[in-house]
Amino acid sequence: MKYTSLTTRSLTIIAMLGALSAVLMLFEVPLPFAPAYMRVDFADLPALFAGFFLGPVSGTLVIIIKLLIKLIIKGTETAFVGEFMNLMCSVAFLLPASLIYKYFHTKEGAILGLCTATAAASVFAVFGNLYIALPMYVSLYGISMDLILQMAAAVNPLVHDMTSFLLFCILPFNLLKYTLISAFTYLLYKRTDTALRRLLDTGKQIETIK
Amino acid sequence: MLTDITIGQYFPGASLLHRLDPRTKIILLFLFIIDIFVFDTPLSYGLLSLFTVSLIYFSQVPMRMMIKSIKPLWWILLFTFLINLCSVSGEAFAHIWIFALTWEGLRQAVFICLRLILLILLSSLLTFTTSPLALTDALENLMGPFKRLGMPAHELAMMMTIALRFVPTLIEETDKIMKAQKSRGSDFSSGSLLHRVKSLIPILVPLFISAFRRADELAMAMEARCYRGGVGRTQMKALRITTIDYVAYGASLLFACTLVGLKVIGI
Repeated sequence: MKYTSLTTRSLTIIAMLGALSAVLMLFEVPLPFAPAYMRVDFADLPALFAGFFLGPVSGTLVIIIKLLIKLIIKGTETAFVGEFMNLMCSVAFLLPASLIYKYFHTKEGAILGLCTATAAASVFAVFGNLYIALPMYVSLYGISMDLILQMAAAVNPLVHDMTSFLLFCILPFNLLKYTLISAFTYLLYKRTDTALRRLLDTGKQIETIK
Repeated sequence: MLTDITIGQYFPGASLLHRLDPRTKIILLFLFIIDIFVFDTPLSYGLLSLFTVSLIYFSQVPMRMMIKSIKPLWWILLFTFLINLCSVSGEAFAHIWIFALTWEGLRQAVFICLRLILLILLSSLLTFTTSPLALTDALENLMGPFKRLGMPAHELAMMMTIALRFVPTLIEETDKIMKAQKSRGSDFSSGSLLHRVKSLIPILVPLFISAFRRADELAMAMEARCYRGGVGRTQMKALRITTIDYVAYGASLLFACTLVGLKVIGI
């Protein structure tokens, strides 16, 4: 990989979106059917926006900045496990969407990208939880897996064992979360894109959509 | 609602810990986190707790601020303690309702909670004694070797600095936009989930536009001052490793060796 520097303007845009992402992380909406520790936040929105507006690498940088700011402001409660999972899931969401949009630079491309990304990130979240997050939480807090399942079963009657927990709790939660974020990104991008292009008077430095 | 967030927990001072190089502090924090996870005997935990308490003493950060940093996790701690107390099987010393409290459970509960508290205290010590900008500088410096692999170390540090500077501004702006929308009769806190989510769009659109406008103005200001990336850029407060850093490394290594020694002997 070659070391390339960003233009000053894309640098400030990524920084500002990273800050915005950290701010949006503070708005959290709990969902009715999942345990209380799973919450929807819109921190991925600026990252996806940067992914569409500037490209996949910039989007990833926004995610990294958001997490570093979170670490500096709030510290880590989970010995970096939560942050690591967040990074992996966000990247799994961002990359398919921004890559597809990069090569199919149309409205259909955007929708296709967002749908693929929603599916990819949800599936990734299931496996990430199964193999990384849950085992690490179990060893960190000393709480057994059965207890997590029981807690989940208390709020969601469909949960009986690990498979049903993943299928009826984690999968729908993530599907809903990423569908929401996708819908938001689409609406937001549609509404702000023209204004932003006029504002930034681009064409040369920043690659924007047609 | 959003105005009570302070950025970073930096507690200005001139203590030994404040004067340590931020790079040293980051590296040593990781060393201690590894210590906490690797050495899990009662004696090592006693030593680690003693060490942490003496670090807090040296940092001159008031104890109530350290306790405040544990506060958000109070419920998780209590919950973890109770769960471990009740769910581990072994020799019971008391029965409450259907739960049997065991010595093994008590031991593990204390253990897990102590581990969590130590982790939080040590990482808060870093943020209490190091300003966010010093931390950013240290990150840039530590990532330096990865520049060859394509890691944009300087750009990332510059973006972190900008982002940290603008988080309070954007929070204020969000607050202002929300108030403006509220005064025009919009409602964010009642109604169905869908309704509440939908009501966020009129906040997000102006927020994004204004973030982009600020970014554009900032880029203009930076270029007017001849910003041209990280190559050949100097710092006003350059990081420097001094004697206390060597002492800190030495002491921490000695401490880690003691723990290894204890583990080998099997205490």
